[in-house]
Amino acid sequence: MINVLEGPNAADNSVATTSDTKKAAVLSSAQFKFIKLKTDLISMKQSDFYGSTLFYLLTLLPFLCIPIIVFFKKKKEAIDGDVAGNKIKLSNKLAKKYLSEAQKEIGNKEPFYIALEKAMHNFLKAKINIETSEMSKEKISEILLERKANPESITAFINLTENCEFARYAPSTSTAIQQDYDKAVAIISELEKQIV
Amino acid sequence: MKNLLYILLLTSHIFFAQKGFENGNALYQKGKYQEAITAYETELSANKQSAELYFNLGNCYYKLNKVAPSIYNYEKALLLNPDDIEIQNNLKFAQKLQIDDIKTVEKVGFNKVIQDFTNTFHYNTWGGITVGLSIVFLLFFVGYYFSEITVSKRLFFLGMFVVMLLLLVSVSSAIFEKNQFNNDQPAIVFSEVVSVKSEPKVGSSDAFMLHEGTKVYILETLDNWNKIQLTDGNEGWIENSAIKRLK
Repeated sequence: MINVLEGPNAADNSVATTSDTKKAAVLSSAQFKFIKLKTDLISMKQSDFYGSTLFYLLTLLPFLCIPIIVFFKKKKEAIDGDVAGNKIKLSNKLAKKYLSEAQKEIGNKEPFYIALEKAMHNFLKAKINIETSEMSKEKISEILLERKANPESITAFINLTENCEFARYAPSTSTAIQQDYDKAVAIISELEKQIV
Repeated sequence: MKNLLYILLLTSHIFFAQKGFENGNALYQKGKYQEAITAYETELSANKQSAELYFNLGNCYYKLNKVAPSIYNYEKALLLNPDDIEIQNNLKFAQKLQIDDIKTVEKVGFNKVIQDFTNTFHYNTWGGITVGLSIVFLLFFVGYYFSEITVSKRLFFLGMFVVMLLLLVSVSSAIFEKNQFNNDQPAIVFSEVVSVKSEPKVGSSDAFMLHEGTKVYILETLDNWNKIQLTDGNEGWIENSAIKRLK
């Protein structure tokens, strides 16, 4: 191969030949190429992605998601739309919350009875769908009887609620507090079973 | 700790796996082409391959003036990496050693247009595009279903149709391309001279003669006979032993 460097000393009459060799230099770029020195060898047994189970699964999955999304949105709308149901749910949650709070405060008389009263209150609200303003002894026992609760349990429940108010300001021992707590749990679970 | 060990094992495995390739390169550099071929072929016998490996093998055979294996390996390399200019360049060099000069009749028409389009990607890539589009479709649906604004709702709805259309295109491209891949059965003539018969029988009359290095396309197979087509459209029957399939 001849490499001709163009220079100012090149004679005018040799311009044609210089350009000829230049052309040849360009053409010689189409030469036999040397081996490649770097490679990433791969296994000959490459499995195809197209047509594999994974391919079908990934393609169809988004389409299967559509009815699921529609179903869940419909369900969520139904749940949000159900005002009475939400109220019951909230009361139920609060009843549980206050009951566990009462359990925590079992050593302290005042917060314990406050929490216990609230727990029973919310339990009633959740179970018989009654507002706080219309809560009275007569009304509660009337509704509970209607819902086929045991009269003994009802009396026990009402007694306990009244006891809560009373006990808050009266001196009482820790064993009494524990007893009241156990009683409350027992009555609530009993009523839970009886009420239809 | 255990993971680290696995990583070490894996990397060392890759390192050793390249060894035959690197040995081959060193031998080629020294001009020991036959030994280089043996070194490269240890990779092939270990079920490893790459476009570069086939390219280097093709170079070795070219240097040894073995036309058919040289062209065969360049074609193999091109199957793995169809756009490589160096491979195409050296293949042309090898083809200059070939005796048969067969014209290539370009296909025309609607089928060719579709072929060119689906050819832009491998069918596995089309598969990947399909999966991606189906996820995009889901996103558009979610956008349509949950958006409160009328304008965006409409845009998402329109987008769903567009994506669906694209998805159908990519699926049919994958199907078409896979079909094309399966039907396309190229082979290289390895016999120095072979007569192509008009019928798959030994005593049948010769249709034409082929020499080593010629690329043929196998259309059908019957016992140890293959119905082949040349790039210029001529057809005939050739014996299995005379050719070597690229796929």
